[in-house]
Amino acid sequence: MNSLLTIIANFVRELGAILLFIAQSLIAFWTCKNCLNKIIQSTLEIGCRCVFIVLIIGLFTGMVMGLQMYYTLIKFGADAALGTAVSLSLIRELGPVLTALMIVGQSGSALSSEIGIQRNDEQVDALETMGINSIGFLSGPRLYAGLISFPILTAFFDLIGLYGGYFSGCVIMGLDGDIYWKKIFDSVHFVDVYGGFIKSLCFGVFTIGICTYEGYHCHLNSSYKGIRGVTQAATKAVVKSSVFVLVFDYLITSFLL
Amino acid sequence: MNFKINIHGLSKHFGQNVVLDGVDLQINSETITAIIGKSGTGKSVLMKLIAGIIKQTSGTIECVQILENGEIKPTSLDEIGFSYMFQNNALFDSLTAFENVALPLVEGNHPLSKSKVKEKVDHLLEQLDLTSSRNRYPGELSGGMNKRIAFARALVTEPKVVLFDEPTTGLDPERKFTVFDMIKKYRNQFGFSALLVSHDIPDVYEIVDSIAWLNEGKIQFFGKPEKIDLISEISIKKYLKTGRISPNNL
Repeated sequence: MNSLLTIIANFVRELGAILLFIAQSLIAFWTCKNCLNKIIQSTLEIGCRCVFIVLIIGLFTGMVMGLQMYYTLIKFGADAALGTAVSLSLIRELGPVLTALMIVGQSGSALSSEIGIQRNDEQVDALETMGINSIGFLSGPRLYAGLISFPILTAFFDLIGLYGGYFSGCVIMGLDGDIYWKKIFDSVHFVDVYGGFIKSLCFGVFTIGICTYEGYHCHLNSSYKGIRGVTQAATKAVVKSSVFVLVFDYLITSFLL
Repeated sequence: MNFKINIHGLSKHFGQNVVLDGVDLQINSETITAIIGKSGTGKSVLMKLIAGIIKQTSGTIECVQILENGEIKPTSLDEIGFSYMFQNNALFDSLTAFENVALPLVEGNHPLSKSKVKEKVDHLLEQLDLTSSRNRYPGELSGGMNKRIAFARALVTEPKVVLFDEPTTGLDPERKFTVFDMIKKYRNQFGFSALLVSHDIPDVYEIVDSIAWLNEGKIQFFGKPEKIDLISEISIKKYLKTGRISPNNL
């Protein structure tokens, strides 16, 4: 019982520390100079690093969904609803979730390692001695970049996923393309797109926040120091962010529906 | 600006490990103090405590400004203006030598125009014989060059207090004396106080006003360099004997 309470207490403490770190990063960033340049640079970094993998995963997810849904719907004679099924699944759920997981795997681990190495090399301490707020300088631009790049990459994922569904459902399986697109336009409403957008914003700020938090505090890890501490921080960042994405996806979905 | 940094009863524990155990030290304006001692005695920890990078377990670090009328005004190291040269340089790998040196001016609280920053940084790089490495990254340069870039970064803001953590480690004798000369020259030019950790005994004696011998968590000697040889304490004698190579020691 005591150990369960300790786990819960540690979880709450960690969650509080992460939320505080994110808030500090977002506020302290504006004390830095050349803010806009830093945001643009970080957005390009995250965007360029991830756009290719997001497009590939989006295309194949759409194609797989097109096939699976086609074979399921045709059993009920409802193959015309393929556009509806593919678009709503992608825009509401799979787009934001898979994009976030891809960015975490591609950029999140790199961010965490980069800041971890800077911490190990005393670069973080050097920033503080120069009168530069290290949290704002290192984490701030990445968080704002997350807020910008996650929705954009999610939109790319959704769009290419719809074409993937079209390719497998219409080009390969022979469904009428006009029906596919008409069903998409009829069934996707603003609230669906809005829900996916809200999710991608939340995932953007929290996953990047978790990754930078882990890198920034890698020196506090009592069991692993040095490079092992950095790799441990990167692993923890990816695991925690991925779990966060899935848990929060459920919470936001249940709130929005 | 006249000031004093009074360190009183400073202790730092890392869990059960007591690194500093009641350090007392006073640093005056425009003086150079060297902290000497065996490796692992907490010299770098003391520097980080003074810089405020880590927090002490107990004890106080007080900064006071002495006004022209003799009045004493409490202040802080940030207000006095300080910089820190780290033992492993702490240079940013993704920035060039020029950008690393310019970083405190560009991102810190120093309102200077771009052209002024460029002029100042280029002048400093030239003085330290780093002009050819201006646009190269730390990873492309030797350890000695990186040391000099870190040195330039520490001085670029013209601070009143500079904390040097082993500024000459890894430098050849010629460069080592260049760094020592620059510390002395800049002290005369800008009137800063320097606290430096060094193992270069007795070379460091040439530029310092006082020596602090840190041993077993305490400052066991503080005074003029010429007086340290007169101390009969065995631990100091043993350290100084191993710290310098003279025909008598061989």
